[in-house]
Amino acid sequence: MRLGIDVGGTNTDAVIIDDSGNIKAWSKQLTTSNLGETIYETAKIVLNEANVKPESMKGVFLGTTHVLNELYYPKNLAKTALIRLTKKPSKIKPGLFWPSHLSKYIIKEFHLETKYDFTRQIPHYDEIDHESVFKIMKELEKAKVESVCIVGAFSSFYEDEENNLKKVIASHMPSLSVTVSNEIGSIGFLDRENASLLNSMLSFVMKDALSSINDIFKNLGLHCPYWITQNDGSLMKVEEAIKLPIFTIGSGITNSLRGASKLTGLKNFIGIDVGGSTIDIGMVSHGHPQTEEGPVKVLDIPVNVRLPKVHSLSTGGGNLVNTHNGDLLIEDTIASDITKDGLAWGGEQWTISDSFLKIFPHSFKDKHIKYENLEGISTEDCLKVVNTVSSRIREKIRQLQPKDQYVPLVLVGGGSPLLLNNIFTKFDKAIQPVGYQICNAVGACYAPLSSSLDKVFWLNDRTKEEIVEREKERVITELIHKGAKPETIKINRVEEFPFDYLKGEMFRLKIMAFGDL
Amino acid sequence: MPWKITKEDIRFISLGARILSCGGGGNTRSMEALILSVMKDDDVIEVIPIHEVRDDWWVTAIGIMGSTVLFNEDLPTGEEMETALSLYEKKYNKNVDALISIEIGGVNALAPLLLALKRRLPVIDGDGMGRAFPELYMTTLHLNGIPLAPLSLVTQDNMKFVPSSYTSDQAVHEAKSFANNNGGHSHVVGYGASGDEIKTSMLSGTLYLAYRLGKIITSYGDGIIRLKQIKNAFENSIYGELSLVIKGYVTEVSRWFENEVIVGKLFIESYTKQHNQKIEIQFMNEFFTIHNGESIYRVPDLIVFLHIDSLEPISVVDIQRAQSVIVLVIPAPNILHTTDMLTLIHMKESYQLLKKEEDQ
Repeated sequence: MRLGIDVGGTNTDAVIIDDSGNIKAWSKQLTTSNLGETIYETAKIVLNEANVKPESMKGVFLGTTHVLNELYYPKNLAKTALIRLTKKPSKIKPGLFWPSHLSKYIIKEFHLETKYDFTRQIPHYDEIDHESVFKIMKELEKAKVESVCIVGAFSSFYEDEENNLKKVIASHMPSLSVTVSNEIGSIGFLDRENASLLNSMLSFVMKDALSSINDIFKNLGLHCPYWITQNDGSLMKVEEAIKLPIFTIGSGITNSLRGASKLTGLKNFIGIDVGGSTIDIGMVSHGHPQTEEGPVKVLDIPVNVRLPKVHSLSTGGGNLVNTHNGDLLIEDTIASDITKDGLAWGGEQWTISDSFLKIFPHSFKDKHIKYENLEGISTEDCLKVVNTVSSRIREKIRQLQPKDQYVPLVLVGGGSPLLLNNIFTKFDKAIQPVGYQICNAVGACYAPLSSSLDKVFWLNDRTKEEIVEREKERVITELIHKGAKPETIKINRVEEFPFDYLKGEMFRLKIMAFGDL
Repeated sequence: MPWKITKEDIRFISLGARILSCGGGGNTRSMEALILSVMKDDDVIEVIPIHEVRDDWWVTAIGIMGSTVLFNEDLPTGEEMETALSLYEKKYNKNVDALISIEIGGVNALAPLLLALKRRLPVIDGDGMGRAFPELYMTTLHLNGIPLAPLSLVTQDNMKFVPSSYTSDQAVHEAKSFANNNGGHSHVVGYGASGDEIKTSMLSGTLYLAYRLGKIITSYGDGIIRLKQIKNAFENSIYGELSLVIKGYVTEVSRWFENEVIVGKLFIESYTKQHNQKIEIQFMNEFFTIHNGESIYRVPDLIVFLHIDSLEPISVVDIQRAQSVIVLVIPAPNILHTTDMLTLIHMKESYQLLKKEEDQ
């Protein structure tokens, strides 16, 4: 028996799935500002409903879009200081390509001289410059900095320097959270710095949401292991998620796509998740949600972390619609609870969902909907909204759809009934599986364990094959250590990237392995 | 047309330069960030078109050589270029009047801009390659007899001046060994010549083209319209007529080491059945050949990969399986097709694969 919980911006869903893959029960609650309480309530209801003993639960799987939402609408970001460890200070300002509502959280910037000489294989490492570090710490205190981000040049193969500096700061200022860039990303200073700074700013977010999780699960009588799902759809420990929140920002859609695969039994399809504030469209091939690792952007900020390969439309069922000087506008604002605030439900706010309901009545099987409430809005306007939203979705699908082998569309998410049989019909091979509204929570239950590596190595008189073999072993050992069944472990990929101009003495290695619990 | 680059324009030039880089030329991120960090909102950089370059000017070419992957990890201080130019002027005892980019493709399109800003020097609208090439000597400047030396080389913590008594071959050798021993990259000031000589050796109008391309890509508007605008931009330049080779997705990418250089191959499958089903593309530092059934496109023509959606250029480093792309080919300016220039770019070991192909 598995318990999956998905904490979304609007709703929190929980689902219990038995060992043969049947959904025993599910529940849906509004997400409140107290995430711990929301998780507790939702889990309690589903446990009662399924009428299963907490002891029979093998694991709890938690997915959340909470961290990503925080970046869009910051409420709890940490005031962050950046420490660059480079040979010389650079004139490049941090946070350059950032939206101002996030860059304002970078409040201090320091430089420390690195002791490494990057041109030689064996670094000449000296003691840390304690005097300078103490000066920095004084300033951190004075500026009331809440989180520190350490980015060292070449930290993907000289990680000690960042780690040692972290140790010194953490031992003197234990209340500060410290991010080191070698845990976040590989080569490419500025993109890694961006990702590390975001991680630093997010320090409180996961901590506040999850610090009480231990007690919550204990109170529910759950003593099984519990996990958080991350960007590539695999699992991480709660302690890891608190330390590395940036790795959870893309997990929502990954869970949704995996869930869609489990609920339909399909291995190749395009998944469309219609949520309250976004519509996410992604591709599943051979049962795995596709991820992207080239240059990716989070809110226009270039970062070098792996993210699901998804086309996100910034409009969902809850976006407000308005007319302004005769022009029809789909606004960025979202109804906080559509079943209270939406026109069709007797509220005051005209949303995208209301527009669809006007054109396609009875899309939702909801007794509380009163269609007479929609009489005040014009059919013509609603039709425009419907056409705008559906042509945006169609355009994305067209790009994903491989021409030689048409793959089905799977519609999931609470808002998906608005599209099914209205916009997408059986001619599109559109399917909406039972359990579509709790797809994320289902997907979380089936997330695999993973272990990965992305580092740069000097050969130092070893052959490349020796290094690759040794690192493969290391990744597999880590995966077993995390709890994966050895027979299920699969090395998903091994990629080598040689460097130019260094005559092959140095190379970058990426290894990714998955295994089941 | 004389023209002034504003802070706002930097990102357009950066983006357009990555199109002209044909997948090479390095990520422009650090250089772009550096210029944006230093440039004030009302700062401008003066751009001089070919017909306004004065014959008696002393012009030098500016660039960064070596590994841009390492350059983007080893953040520049922002002072290296000024140091390099001062070293050049002091040792050679000559004042520089204007700057030109060694290579418009990639990071080197931006390399002279920061220096121009800080030293209040004009930048000439043009460059020495018209695209990206892997070696310092693969320039039309070299082809037309402008010597590389005197040459000044500067990194974060080291510098070197190669005097004019060195032949270009010797200077290239010095520059490479300096870069290899100093972190894998170096800032370069060289190819000094009179305005008169530069005018007849450079590829003209490429800086403005880069700006135009970047501006088109970032403009709102549907993909087909923007592609048309890109085509128009090339039509009004020294390049040939753009053709769209394929719209499709990357089915396979492999990379390996050959003669100490990264070499790779990839396949693209078309979205539409009518089109050519599958094409093969080879790359090294840049994309260099397309096998498309009967027809073959190759260096020095420009092979450009764009993201199918955003139309942002994709580099040989970033290209990966399952990406959706548009591939364009633009015939290179005539001068790059001359026998002498072809010999120059084929001399390099890294283009041996290409030679082998031709032998067959």
